[in-house]
This record gives sequence, C-alpha cells and structure tokens, in this order.
Amino acid sequence: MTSATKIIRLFLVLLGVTVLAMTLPDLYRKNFEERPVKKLIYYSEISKNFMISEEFSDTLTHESNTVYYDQTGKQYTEREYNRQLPFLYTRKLALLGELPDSVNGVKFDQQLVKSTKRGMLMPVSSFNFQLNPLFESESGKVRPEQPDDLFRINRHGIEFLNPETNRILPEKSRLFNEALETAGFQAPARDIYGIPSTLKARDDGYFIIDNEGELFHLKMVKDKPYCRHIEKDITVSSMKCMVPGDLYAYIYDDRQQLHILRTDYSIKPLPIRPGNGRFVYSVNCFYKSYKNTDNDSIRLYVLNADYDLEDYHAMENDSYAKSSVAQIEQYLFPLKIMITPGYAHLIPLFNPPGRFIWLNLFLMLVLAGIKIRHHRNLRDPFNWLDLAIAGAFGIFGFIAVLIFPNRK
Amino acid sequence: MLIKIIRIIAVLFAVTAAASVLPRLYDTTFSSRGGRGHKDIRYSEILKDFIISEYVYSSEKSHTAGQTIYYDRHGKSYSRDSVDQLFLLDNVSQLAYEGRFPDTICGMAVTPELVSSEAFSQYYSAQPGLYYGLCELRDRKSYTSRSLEPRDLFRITPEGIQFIVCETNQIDEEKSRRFTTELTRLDFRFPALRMWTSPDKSVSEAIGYYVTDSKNYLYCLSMELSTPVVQKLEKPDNKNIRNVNFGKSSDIRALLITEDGDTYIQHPDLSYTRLALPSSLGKSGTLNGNLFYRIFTLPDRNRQTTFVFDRDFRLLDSCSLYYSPRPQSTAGVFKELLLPLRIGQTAWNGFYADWSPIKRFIWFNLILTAIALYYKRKNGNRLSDAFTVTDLLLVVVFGIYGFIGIFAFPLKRSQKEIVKSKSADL
Amino acid sequence: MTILKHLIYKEWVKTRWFASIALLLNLGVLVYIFMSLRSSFLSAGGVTYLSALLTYKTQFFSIYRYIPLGIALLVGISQFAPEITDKRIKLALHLPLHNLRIIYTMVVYGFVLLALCMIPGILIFTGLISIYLPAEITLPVLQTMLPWLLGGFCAYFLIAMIAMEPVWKFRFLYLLVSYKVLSLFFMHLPIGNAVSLLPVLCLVTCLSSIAPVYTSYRFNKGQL
Repeated sequence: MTSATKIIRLFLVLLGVTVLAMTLPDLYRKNFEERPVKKLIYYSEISKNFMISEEFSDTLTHESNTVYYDQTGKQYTEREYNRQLPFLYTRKLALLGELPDSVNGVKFDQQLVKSTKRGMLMPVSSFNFQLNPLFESESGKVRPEQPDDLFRINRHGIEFLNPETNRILPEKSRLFNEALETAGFQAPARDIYGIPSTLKARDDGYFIIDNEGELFHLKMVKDKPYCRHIEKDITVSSMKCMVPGDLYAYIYDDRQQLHILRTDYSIKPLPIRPGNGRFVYSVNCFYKSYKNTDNDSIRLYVLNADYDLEDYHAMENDSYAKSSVAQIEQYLFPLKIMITPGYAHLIPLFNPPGRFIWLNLFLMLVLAGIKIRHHRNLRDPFNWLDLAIAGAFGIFGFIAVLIFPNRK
Repeated sequence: MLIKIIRIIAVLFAVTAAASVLPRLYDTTFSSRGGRGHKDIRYSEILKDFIISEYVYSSEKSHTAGQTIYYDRHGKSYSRDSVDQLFLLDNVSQLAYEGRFPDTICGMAVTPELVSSEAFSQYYSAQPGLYYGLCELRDRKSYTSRSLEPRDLFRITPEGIQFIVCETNQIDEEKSRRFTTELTRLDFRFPALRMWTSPDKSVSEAIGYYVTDSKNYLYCLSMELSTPVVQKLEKPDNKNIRNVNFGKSSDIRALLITEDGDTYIQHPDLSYTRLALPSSLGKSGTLNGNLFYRIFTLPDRNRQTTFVFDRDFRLLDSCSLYYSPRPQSTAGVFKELLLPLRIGQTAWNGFYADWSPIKRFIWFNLILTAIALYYKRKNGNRLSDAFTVTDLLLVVVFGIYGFIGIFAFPLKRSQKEIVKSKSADL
Repeated sequence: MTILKHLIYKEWVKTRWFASIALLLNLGVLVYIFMSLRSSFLSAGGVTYLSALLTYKTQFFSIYRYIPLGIALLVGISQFAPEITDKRIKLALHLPLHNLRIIYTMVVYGFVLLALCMIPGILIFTGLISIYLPAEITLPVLQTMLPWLLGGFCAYFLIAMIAMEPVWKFRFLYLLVSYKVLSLFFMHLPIGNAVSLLPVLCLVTCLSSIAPVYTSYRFNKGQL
C-alpha cells in the first residue's frame, strides 16, 4: 500500500480504537456488575445524630436485611430508626400514631412537614434557551401570571419580543434598557438564571451575568423595571435558583465551590468541600443538610439556619468502582470513553497503567507472532506502529489493527 | 381475474389510507384561526347555575389578541370580576392570599383548609384498561416494617391463586396454598375474570383488590400480616361489572360501571347508589368534587355533558356544551367540498367514518369521475368491462381518495386483452 | 474531461430516481414539520406555544432525525450496489484514468448529490420556521439537527467504503464499526447539547470521507 493509504489506515485504526473504547467496557460492566450494598444517611432533628441504614442482599439465598445504626455505632430497630426521622417517615409514623407533638419546641403539624424542601444540586452545564418570560413580581395574585412577551439580552441590550408577531416591542425594550444601563450592565448577557414557570409561589425575577462577568438582579415591579448590581468576589460558573424561601439561589464558582445568594444580596460560601459537585439537599427551618456521594465516600454536611457548619459525617461508600469486577476491568482495558451529560463531550477515562500493561504486552507479542506468520516486512515502520498501538491501547488496538489490516 | 380482484382490495386499502391521512393534512395546513376557541364550563355554588367560559380571538390579520368571555346558559354575559365572585370554592388560594376568604359559604361555616381538603379531581372509565393478569398485593400493615414490603406478584389461574417470587421466578407454594384455601372457602370459582386496584399505593394497601370470579361474583382480596383477608361483596343491583375505578374522596370507596352502562357509587359501608347518568359504555369521564357537589363530565361525539350531584348523589342539574360539527369558516366549507369523508379512531368510539353532506362533495366527485373516464378511454379501457365500471364507481363514491387509489394501482392489461381491444378497433 | 462527464452521467442514470425520491422525502418531511409547527402555534396561541416549548424543550422537529440517514442509504445503495454485484466496478476501472480518480469521482458525485438533496430543504425550513420562532430558538434547533445531517454524509462515505471492500468478512466487521460510529451522530440529546460534540463529528465525517481510499486500494496497480 502507498504511504498515503497506510496513513489513512492508521486513522481508521484509531477510529476503531475509539469505537471499541466506547463499547467494550460498557458491555463488560453490564454483564458482570454486581448489586452494591445500599447505604443511606440522614440527620435526625430530634436526636441530632446521623442515622445510617445499610441494606445487604444475598443473591444466593435471595434474602435481604437492613441494619440501622448511628454514627456512634449504636444499633436501632426499624421502628426506633423511623421515629428519629419524622420528616422522612411522616406517613408511616402517622399510621402508627407515633408522630412527635413537637420538634425543637415547634409544633409538628402539616405546615411544618410541607416546609421541608428536597432536591439536587449539580454543576452540570447544559443548554438553556436565552429567551425567558419576565413575570410581574407584585401582581397581587397568589401565583405569577404568564406574560404576553419574552425577553432576551443580546448586544443591542434587552429586547422584549411579542411571540404572536415575532416582533420587538420598542417602548418596553427601551424602558428596561435604560434601567440596565443605569445599573451598569454591559450587554450582551452571558447567562440568565431564573425559574421561568408560573408554578411558583412568588416571582424573584432573573439573575443575569453580563459580558464582564458581573451579576445583576432583574425584576418587573408594577410594570416598571428593577435592576440591581450584586457585589461579589467570586466567578460564577452556574446558578440554581430556588423557590421562594430565605435564598435566591445557589451559586457554583469556577472551582465548583457552593455559595448561597441570600435575599439581602449577601453571598456566603458554604462550609462544604466541593468533591464532584453533586449534592442532594434537604432543608427545613431547623437544619440544611447536603449529601455528596462519590466513588469513595458519602459525606453529609449539616448546616444551621445561618448556613454555618453544625455537624458533619463521612462514611465509606460501596460503589461499582470499588468492586472486584471493576478492579478486573482495570486489568483488561486501558481506558474507557464516556459521553458527558449536559453539553455532550467524549471524555477518556484512563486506568492505571501498571494494571493493564501486562495484557497489552501479551497482545503485542501475539500480534508480532501473527505478523511474522503472515511474512510481513519487519523493517516497515508501519508494522512497528501497529505493535505500538496494540501496546498502548491493549485489546482495543489489537482488535482494531486486525479489523483494518495492511493489504499487501 | 384473481389479480384484478386483489387489485380492487389494494385500491380500497389506498382509499382508507387516504381518507385517514388527507383530512388531517388538510387540517394541519389550513387550521382555522380566529372565531372558535376553547370552551370550559363550571358550576357556581352562589348562582346555582352553570357559567361557560370561551377563549375567542379578535381576529385581525397580523395582530391576534385573545380574551376569555363568560356567559350562562341563557346567553347572559358576565365580566371577569363578577365571575370571580361566583366561584368561591375554586378560588381558595387566591382569596386566602388576599385575606378575603369568607367565613361562610351558602350558610355553611368554612375555612380555607376545609375547602381545599374537600376538593379533588379524578378520571373514571367504563373501559377496562391494559391488563396483564399479574398484580402486586400489598400487605395492609406494610407501613409497619420493611420486611412486609411485597416481594412477589400474584395471578389467579384455573388451579388457584399463585404467588410468584420476583427474584427467583418460582411459585411460593405455601403462601399460594393459604390464599387458595381461603378463596375456596368463600366459594370463589377459579380462574378470576379480572382484578382491579387503586393506582394510589396507600389506597391499594388499605383496600386490596376487587376480583370477579368466573361466575361473575365480586370479591375483595387483601392481606394483613401475611394472612389472607377475603370478603364476598354484593354486586350493584346484581348486575355484572364492567369496570371498577377507586375513589379519591372519603365518601366514595369505588365507582363501578356495570355491563349495561350504569354507573354506581360504592360507599365506604359497601352500599351502592345508582347515579342518574346516561350510559357510560365506551366512555371515560371526569369527576370533580368540592365541599358541596360531585360533578361528572361525560364526553360525546359532538358535545360534552356536565352533571351536578349533591353530596347525597342526587342529580341537581345538567348542561351540554356543543362543539360545532359543521365549521363555518371558508377552510371548513372547502374541506366539505373536496373531502367526502374522514376515517379516524377514538378511544371510546373505535373506528368511525364521518361523511360530509352529499350535496357538497358530489360535484367534485363527478368532475373527478369525468377525468378518470377520459383517461380510461384514452388507455383503451372499455366501459363494458366490469372492473373499469368498478373503478369509476369508486371515484364517484370516494372522490379524491378513489381517484388516488385507482391511479396508484393502475389497471394493467394483459397482452391478450391489448390484442383483443386493438382488433376490436379495427 | 469527457470521460469524467460520461462517468458522471452513468452515475446519474443509476441514481436519478432514488435521488428524486430522496429530495421529495427531505422536502416533504421538513414542510410537514413546518406545517405542524404552524398549526400548533396558531391553535395554542404564540405565547402558550412558545412558553411550553421553552419550558419542556420539546423537539417538534424530531421526526427528521433519521431522514438524512435514509437519504444516504437511498443514494449510496443505488449508486454502489450495482457496482458490487458481479464486481461490475471492473468495467469502470478499465477507463484510461487513475483508479483512485475514478472512484473518487463517484464518491464526490454522491456527496454533491446528497448535499443537493438535503441542503436546499434545510435552508427553506430555516426560512419558514423563522416566521414563527425567534433566533434564540431557531439556532439551537439547527444545532441539534446538524449532527443528523453530518451523520447522513458520514453514512454515505461509509457505504462507499464498505462497497469497495472485497472480502465479506471485513464488510461485516466494517458494518458493525459503522453502526457504532453513526450512533454518535444520532443520539437522543436535549436541544442544544450537541453543539459541543460537533468538532468531533466533523472530524469523524472527514475521516470517513477518505476511508474509501483504504478499501479500494486493491484496485490500484491493476490488481482486480
């Protein structure tokens, strides 16, 4: 084959390696993955302890049992465990007649239970339309009403659009542009964060990052614009706006550290180590708890009403990455390629070289044997490249080199 | 000969396909804008009558604005503000927010919490839904411990009830035997015809399953602390049951539709009340309830009827909303001229064929027939041939669909026929 | 030069009906999507329709997903299937031109035909939906559809590559590889999220465009 063809062949081999790196590790895991032990951790407002439940299941006997304990190691029965967590097991305790009368001096009624909010926080960047409805913040109605226009902020500043006609409303746009300029806004906007739905109790408007990275708060109050610059000393990476409470939003900075933006416009970093940035939160009027699960550990942070650290507990996590099946995977495959959620990227995840190098070397020798048997020219540098690919990419390289053979 | 008959069948398939697709394409292309809008009907507890709201477009070419108008059965119109005052039970959250919620409504002492807790909305259907015959039986006391969470699914076969353990796909013989014995003790005739439970997990836990045996008797099957709890229930007026819906409010245990289409309410004490509703066969309706009323809405081909009952399920009033069957817009008129029928399918009516009025479409059909006749003559098809006549009849009856059909599958002539027709010409 | 013209005419004769179907299919689906959009927009009202679209990120255009793939199959198979039956490609390769030039004339012809089938439709589609949708929605819609178009081109090149491969064992293997490669183009991603994948997809498409060089190598040096 000509050199040009051989180079093209090499690119095809690399394409084959990529495709195999996306497919084979996935197939392997689907076939051999075992069910991990399920561990849950919650914070009890009653006893101020961390309550942990661990579920064991035996695939042979098909039995499963759950043990309950706290951070000191003391064991609990299922009932005692439920009683420590009235916000979580409200229905069950109500049916058993074991709901507490009050918690921390506050009467435990329907309203208190409903005030608990749970959700997830993720620093994932995903596409969002840069076109949003600006609600009337003080309409006097119990819920905000759907407005007749949508706004965007491009290099011309803010523009209000009439969806029916697809035309700009010049008057309203001009009015709001003046308010933006007065506040020091530099168009166009980089990001717009808010809750563009009418299913919320109160409208807090939108939080906008301008072209210089400054943060602004935009609302419409009685048809008049309200725009205010918010002082900050961090770089905002993403925000998640909250349904009305004591917070406007959570902010992730460029190091994935979590901050809160309070309704008095103060920004406070949370005493939480970022980790992988994904948190499950549960907040009520007593405590705010944030749970982070990664491959090694589960960490639960408990903050008080002022968002200062009240308590913290970490425990080992039994995840796929720690199982023996995953360990064997590291001996078999040099890397795996995954597709990120949100904005799609292909990310290679490399395994430790010390593990897969043995299989790679073995496959290299096998390949060399095959080449010799087929009387290939061992002085041809492309044949050595083939061996190098098998050595570097292991089983992926071995298969790819054989799928796209050197034609004589 | 056989080929020609098969061809006619193919043409009919093409006609059916065209009659399903073309009207929808036409509607998508020429949607009627302006004029008609979405209609809604509500019953006012203050007025003791119905108020209809309709969203109308004030159609100007480039600038459409829409607004909602309100009027009652007699045509009297109401403004938005006056309407808000007529619906207190519906507006609890807004009135409470403004601090304007009254202390009494219609002479009854009320609080916002009381009114909100009494409001509910549910669907009910006379048509049983998708059914696999394999169900999950929850223990009534499963909330006490995780060990009582269900690990199996059950089915009722001619041999008896069988519990299949999910993990192993094997039958739990001991549990199955216990339940079969209990069912047999109450004269249950295996297999079960049908089983129903509530989609709400807590209601399903409390009530269990309603099961009809092979002799059409009704049973209630439940489980408490792993022991079977079976009860034979009375049937409403001894009629066979078509479908069971479970209730969302505390005064309705279940809504049963019998095989003749009657609707019965089963109360928590297991007694029945027959509702003065027309036959529900093949239909699904909605039930909206509040502090004073139970309001049923049943659909129909061209209309929707709302029935208002009091809390004792006595019929107070009813009103029908008509959807105009013959749209007056130009697009609608042209549709009737061009498209003779529309074939479609609804959940409650199955397949239907909706014909336009004959005197509208027959003219276009005749024009198409003339064109088809011209082409047939040009190709040498004789009118004496039965299949040619069939083709033309198809165009007369089915208009443009028939036209498309007969040209999609052209009448191929065999060599013998071509020779024969040419020799006939000579 | 006239040899090339005859060659192109031969390709045209093979593919003209299939390309016409492809063109009509492309236009038909895109126009239908627009009609559907228009109908929903008018009956729901602009405000309601747009706010639902923005909140739920509904992909009103998703039925177009596999159309580029279908067009690539129509053009590619109609062009190359006759060549591989009875190895008829040998006839074309007897022409007094370098083999690679002949083959790539065919491939470039197919690529241009594909572009002519797809691009005008997309341009018309963009113009039509811009009547009802602002740029903030139109652009992400096109960004989401772009991987499907690239997937169509990539699929065509891969069909050419597989057709030129003589050994059936390798044809089957390349079919498997092609399936996996194309699955990158047709993932079910939410609106706008595919934009970060576009550089990789362009790279893969370019690579696949030179892949037929590798499999058609056996025709070089007069080996057939």
